[in-house]
Amino acid sequence: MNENDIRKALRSLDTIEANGTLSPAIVRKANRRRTLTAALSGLGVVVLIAAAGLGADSLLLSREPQVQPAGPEPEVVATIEVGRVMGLDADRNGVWTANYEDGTVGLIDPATTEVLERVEVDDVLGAGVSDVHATDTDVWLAASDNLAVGHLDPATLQVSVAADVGSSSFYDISADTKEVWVAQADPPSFDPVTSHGTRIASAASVVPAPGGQFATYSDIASGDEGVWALGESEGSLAAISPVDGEPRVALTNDELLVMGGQADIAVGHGYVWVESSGEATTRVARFDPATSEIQAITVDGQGGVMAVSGDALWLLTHDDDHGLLWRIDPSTLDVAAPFQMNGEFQLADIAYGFGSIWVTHDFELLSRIAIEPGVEAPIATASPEHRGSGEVCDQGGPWIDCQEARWLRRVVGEAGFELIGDNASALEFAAGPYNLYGWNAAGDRPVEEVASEEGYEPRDQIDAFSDGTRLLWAAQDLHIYLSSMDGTSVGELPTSIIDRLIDASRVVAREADLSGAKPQPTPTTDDQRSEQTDDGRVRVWPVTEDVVDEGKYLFEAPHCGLGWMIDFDGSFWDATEPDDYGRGDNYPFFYNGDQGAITFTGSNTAIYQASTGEEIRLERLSGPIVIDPCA
Amino acid sequence: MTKADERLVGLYAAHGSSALRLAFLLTGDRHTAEDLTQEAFARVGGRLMGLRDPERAAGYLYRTLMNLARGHGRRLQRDRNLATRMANERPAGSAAAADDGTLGLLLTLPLRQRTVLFLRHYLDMSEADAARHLDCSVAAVKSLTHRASQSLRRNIEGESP
Repeated sequence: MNENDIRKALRSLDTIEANGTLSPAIVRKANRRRTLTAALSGLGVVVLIAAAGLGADSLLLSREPQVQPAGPEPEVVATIEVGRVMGLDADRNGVWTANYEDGTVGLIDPATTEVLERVEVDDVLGAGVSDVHATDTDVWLAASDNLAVGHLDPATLQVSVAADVGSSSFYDISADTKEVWVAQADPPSFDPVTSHGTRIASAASVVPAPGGQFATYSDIASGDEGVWALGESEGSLAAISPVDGEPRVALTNDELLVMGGQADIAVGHGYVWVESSGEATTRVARFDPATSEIQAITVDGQGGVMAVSGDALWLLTHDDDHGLLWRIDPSTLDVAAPFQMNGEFQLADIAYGFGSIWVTHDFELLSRIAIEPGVEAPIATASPEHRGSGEVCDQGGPWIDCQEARWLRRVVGEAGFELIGDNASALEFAAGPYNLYGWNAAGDRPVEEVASEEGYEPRDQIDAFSDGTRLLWAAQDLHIYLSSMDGTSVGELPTSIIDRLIDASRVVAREADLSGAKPQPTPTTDDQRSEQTDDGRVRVWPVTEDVVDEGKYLFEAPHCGLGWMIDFDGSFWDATEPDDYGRGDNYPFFYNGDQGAITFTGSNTAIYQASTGEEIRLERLSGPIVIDPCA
Repeated sequence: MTKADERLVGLYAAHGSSALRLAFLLTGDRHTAEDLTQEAFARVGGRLMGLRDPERAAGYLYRTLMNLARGHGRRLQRDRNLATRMANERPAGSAAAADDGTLGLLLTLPLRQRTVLFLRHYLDMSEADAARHLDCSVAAVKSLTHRASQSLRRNIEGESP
């Protein structure tokens, strides 16, 4: 299929016409959204206090908002692409993600905020995983589509079916070091599916849920405070006795606990926390198992999910275009002004770990938000950060894996900048507490001048990366980057300073070993022989010279990468795509230029070693090839 | 009518049909496309006055559509059946009726690739314009286009006897 075929297919869309005028209802809806957006800029918090017990009447009071000083400001320190994640949890191994759609479970390395492992689970479990709970020694997986609970051994990454949970659908699982629990419906029950140290093939017992035959339990949580489940339909809360497995408390108080919409439950700090969402607000009720006292607060945003950290309860709510992360003091229920993030958070989940709150958002992204200044929260210096809807660089390795950042070396090569290892020829700029510098080949010209001469233009949208680097200028796919010497965010500096700097301080790592490589053979002619085919493609003939088919040769993959045309040794060569090619943005050298080496392994076979270190098998083709033009 | 309303109406007049067509390409369903398009205009309309560069409203609109379609697809998990459903639901006079099946193949591509093809080969945008509308780099547009073409070719080869 070529471009003309695509154009022809798209022309069939011509028959689709929108109504001549915009519906007044949409205009009114837009006006309401403008009003809501303006209102959201102010903090609205209502605090409700109630006292309730088993069978006791509830008491609903309200008082003025208790907004505490903001305290340490949360900060997004990294954002990576993880695919469609429906659940996540953190333990000492890292942050585990349940990638429902692609049937994998991911492990994020907390040291680098990069995807460390991606484990295929759907073959074993028969379905993708919708929830994950990690306990340092075990990772429990909810394969709810296949009514199975899975187990992943973090030491070996082996996956197995821990328990089939019968024919009743289940909504959520929870786990501690002793047991794994699922909340099931039809009939409603709490179902402990495994005991400490023993994984059993079927449910050990079924504990009928209090709350009546129509009760359904939507969420379950366990911790030092016991195992608790929330009956969303009736606003009930139930605990299971750790001794005999019988219900210990049954609390029904829908007015206080559940206000409709999505609900979530968490345990921590000696309390059971129940979140429920209204149309534009979210209520968090704190239930004290010792006194049966309930206190509740209501904050802006809907669809809340919760996570418990060492000294706080964290609540994520959202409106249409933002996520709002609230820090709630578990003792006083005082709240700080929310930390606001742009994006889609309707289906978000959060977890606490490594001094950070981890938040899924925008359907495919995971952000790490540092919340505890005293806890080391390493910033991913190697993995550039997704910002807005810009292209995501691959998180699997150092900068060289980023298809944009990797152009830095080309900037250096083609625009005359040098990568040098000392500050001798650096242009140093004093900028308050920051020690910043920029380099160019001569070390004596402002970057604006260099950029202008080389045809670079300032970008309207500055691409930002988690290590503070900013992409400022671009021309013909070549980019000029800027970053601070110490990793401090460049965005905090005055524009006048930023505009005068260029950064070459960050040497792009070359993973490939090119030592001993012979020079790249030169083409025999500058005139590429080619002809157009009937279907709009191009037939081309090789122009390179023959070389002795042994040894290693430098090779510069062309503008469109290995996937387009490899002309070497008087022939074209076919590059074999790795099995995982196409997942994420790995192997950028298949569609972008690259500098690596070709080593013969036979007269018609060779290995291309990319600048990233990966090795790709090549096979010699005979004669000309037919290709699409390189855009 | 307020100034914001006027901008929204103007945006609809200029891009209403294109947005609906993109929505159809992203969802494969006319009714869903209409719903998403209306929602997209409502969302963009809520932000129009806040855009520093009004010229970028169309890009914001297309990106909003892409995000809405992504969320919609997730909820209904319908992407995997899209091509099949398209083939079965091809009424006379519909957009797909004039298509030889290629449109169904386009519907199997990731949303972002579909959007890039729409901007480049339906709206005839340059790579730079498409990049500006999608708020990404030219290299990303180039890469997405290339990958889309590769996928389509693979799919066609896979269908060949």
